[in-house]
Amino acid sequence: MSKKLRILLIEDNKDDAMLLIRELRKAGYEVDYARKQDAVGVNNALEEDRWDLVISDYAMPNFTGRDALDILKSKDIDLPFIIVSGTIGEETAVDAMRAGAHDFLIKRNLKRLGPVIERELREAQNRRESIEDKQELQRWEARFGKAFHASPIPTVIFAIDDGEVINANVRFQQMIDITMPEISGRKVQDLDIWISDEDAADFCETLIKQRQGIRDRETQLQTRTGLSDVLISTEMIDLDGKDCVLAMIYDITERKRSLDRIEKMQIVTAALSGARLPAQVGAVTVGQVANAVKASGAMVMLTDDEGDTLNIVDAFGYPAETIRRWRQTPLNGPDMPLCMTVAEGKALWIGSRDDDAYKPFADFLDANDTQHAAWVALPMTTDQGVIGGICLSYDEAQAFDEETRKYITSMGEYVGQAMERAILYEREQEARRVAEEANELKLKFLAMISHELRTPLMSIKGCTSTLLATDVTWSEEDQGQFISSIDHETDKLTDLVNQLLDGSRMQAGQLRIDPVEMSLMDSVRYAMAQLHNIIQKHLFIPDIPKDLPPVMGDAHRISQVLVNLIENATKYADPHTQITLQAREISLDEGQFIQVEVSDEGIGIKPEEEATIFEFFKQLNRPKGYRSGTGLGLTICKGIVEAHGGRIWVKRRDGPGTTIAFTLPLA
Amino acid sequence: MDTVLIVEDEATIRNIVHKNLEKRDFNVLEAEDGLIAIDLMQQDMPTLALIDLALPRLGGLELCSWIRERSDMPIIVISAEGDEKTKVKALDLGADDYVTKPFGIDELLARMRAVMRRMQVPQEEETRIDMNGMVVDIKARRAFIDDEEDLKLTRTEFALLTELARNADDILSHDELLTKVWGPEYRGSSHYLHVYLGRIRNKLGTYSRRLETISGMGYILHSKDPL
Repeated sequence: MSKKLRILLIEDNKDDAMLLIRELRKAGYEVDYARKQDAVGVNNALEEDRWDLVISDYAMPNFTGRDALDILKSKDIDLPFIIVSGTIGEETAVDAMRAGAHDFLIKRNLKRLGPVIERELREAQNRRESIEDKQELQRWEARFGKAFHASPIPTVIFAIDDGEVINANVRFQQMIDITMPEISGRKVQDLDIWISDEDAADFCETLIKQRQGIRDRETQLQTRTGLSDVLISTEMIDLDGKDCVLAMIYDITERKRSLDRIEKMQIVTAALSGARLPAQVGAVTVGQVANAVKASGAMVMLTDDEGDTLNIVDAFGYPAETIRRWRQTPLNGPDMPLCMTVAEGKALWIGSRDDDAYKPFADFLDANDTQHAAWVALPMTTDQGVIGGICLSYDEAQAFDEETRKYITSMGEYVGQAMERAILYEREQEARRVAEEANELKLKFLAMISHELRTPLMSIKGCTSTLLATDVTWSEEDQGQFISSIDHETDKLTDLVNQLLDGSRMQAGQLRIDPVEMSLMDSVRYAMAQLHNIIQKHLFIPDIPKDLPPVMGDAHRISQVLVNLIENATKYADPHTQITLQAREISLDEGQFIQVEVSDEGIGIKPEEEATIFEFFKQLNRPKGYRSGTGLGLTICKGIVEAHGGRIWVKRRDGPGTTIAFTLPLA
Repeated sequence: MDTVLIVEDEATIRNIVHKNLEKRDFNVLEAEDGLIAIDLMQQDMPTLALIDLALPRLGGLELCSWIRERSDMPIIVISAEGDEKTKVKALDLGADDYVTKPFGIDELLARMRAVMRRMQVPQEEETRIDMNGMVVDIKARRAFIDDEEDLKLTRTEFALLTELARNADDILSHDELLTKVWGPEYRGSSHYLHVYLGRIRNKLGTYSRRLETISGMGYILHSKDPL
């Protein structure tokens, strides 16, 4: 297949031109040409058309091959320029070649024309390509330079042979807080970015000696902001014939921190959702939460019901003495960060002892917490207000950047929500327990009432059924005894009913007394008449001075107290043991009183039960076989004594047994 | 003369019962708590004991257990506790009967008679019932399984098993059993049957499958293992 060729032919002789064309066609070219023979023609032809080749005669009437060459050069057109002349001398030919002609042929020997054209076309093509390559390279280098410096990824270029830094982009300079002039010429392994010499050596060993590229190597570098987690990737590049390494550093500190925080939040929320009671929420807070926010000390405090004291729920990382001292902290007491946080419902961030936020608490923290260097105090807030707070303490100063504050605040909110839930749960549990206890007490009370009613009723029914029996006859003495028993048991029933009524009146706040000036002995005598049979099996010792001053009292009610106390003593002390009734005058801040004491040598009352024995229906858990009372006796005693302006209590004593004491004001 | 032990902490009740029993020719022993009762029984075992549950020092339930470990002497619990749970517990621990206070003397005497009636050795001609590996020896007042293992039944348990064995393969209604074993005044008190049949079942071991509850009707003792 013939090759197309566009030729600008500069020739004044038409025949010579035709000869040339024929010669080219013989060489296999499909020729398309224009013949020009003066400067204007050549100029126009070069401007108006595109040519593969210029073939020019050298000597023409008003124009020369050298002129044509100058025109071509003046237009900066790189076309093969071949001179074909019949007359040119060797000297002229050399001159023309120097001026830029590519070859020179004699008209009568055109055999070389084909190969010359072939060669020159190839050469021209090469030249063009070379120029394009160069231009492309220049363009690319310009683009790369821009991209390199504008890249948001810190990037550095250094020589692979010795690690000398060739270039570093702006982000790299910012990352390690150094300028190009400062960094230029230093070795990459000597930069202050490595966390250890081993790390630098390891990096350079891989790159420089082994000439291996690196893909996403995760490591830590010292940067302007501190220790950063980074991924390093490198690429080998040729820079002006020098083997270099282009190292790109991706700072993944934030990403890693976010992922780490998300993971820790999941752990914390899972742990908090499993914590049902405030103490469990406290334990999770000083454990998982403190760990998640990297605190070395944590404390959770809740306000008491009155809202004026903070009580520690849990604490970790503080000396035992500190925890003991802070266990109950008045909200308006010390300048403790947590007190202010709870009082104002605002978080406090104390990054270090140099922090302005430290100043208001300097005295307190200097005196109480010298081991920590930074603190966060977070309020636990609910719809009802602030219910307490969390204190987190750090061994080292902290920056507490915005992200960190958000993260720690979220943790605090999670704890607050969990704590609110736990408090509600605990209250619900407590209410349930109280309700169940009340129900149990009620059932026990009903069972007790049933028992206490049935016993005298049994005696009455036993006596009446005995008297009604027809298969036997009874002597008058026996009959009298049965009737007397009925009478006595009826009195017991009446007493029981009265106790129930008194208990009911007390609950309604309607227990009435009619105080008059009276002697305690009046009540004692009245009580002894009722107790006569009951105390027979015990050694009863009344010890009451005859010269006791009178009291203001209701003799009947006070005797009721004495009967109850002495009857209790007989129930819980073995037969033949001693029961003492003592009375004496005492002087108290509130005035003059008579203090009465009933003591026995029985099973005693446990210290933990002392506070409850005067409550309604609180029958003590007596050892098996000891008959318990109605559970109303001591409650009624308390009601009566207090209605007189006195006080009743369990008196601590050495040795076994119980002493119940009460006071009555003097008349 | 039969001796009755009254264990009761209320002196008045003790006195009334004492007088009534003495009048009806019983020899009467009195104890106001469980420990005194044990002292008395260690000297001489009475024919029958009336035991209150709420006693000082040693309670009535503990006393029932103590007696049952040593004797099959009839026990009647006399208690102000009227709830079903306490009754079942007392019967489980070996009491033969349970009377809730307040009760009339006539009722107590009737129950004593019923309990003592169950103590009597029957005078019937039939003295031994053999049921394929299970034997009720009426004369010896003992029952065996696998022909030789003594079931060690109490009097009431034995009376109940005997009644079922006499009517083997027939249904006995609750009231029939209650009337025959405890007396007509016990009709309707089916908790006695639950407790006693439960105890017999435990002692019967693998033979317990022969004792079948017919829901809403009564019980049946099969003379052979059911297929």
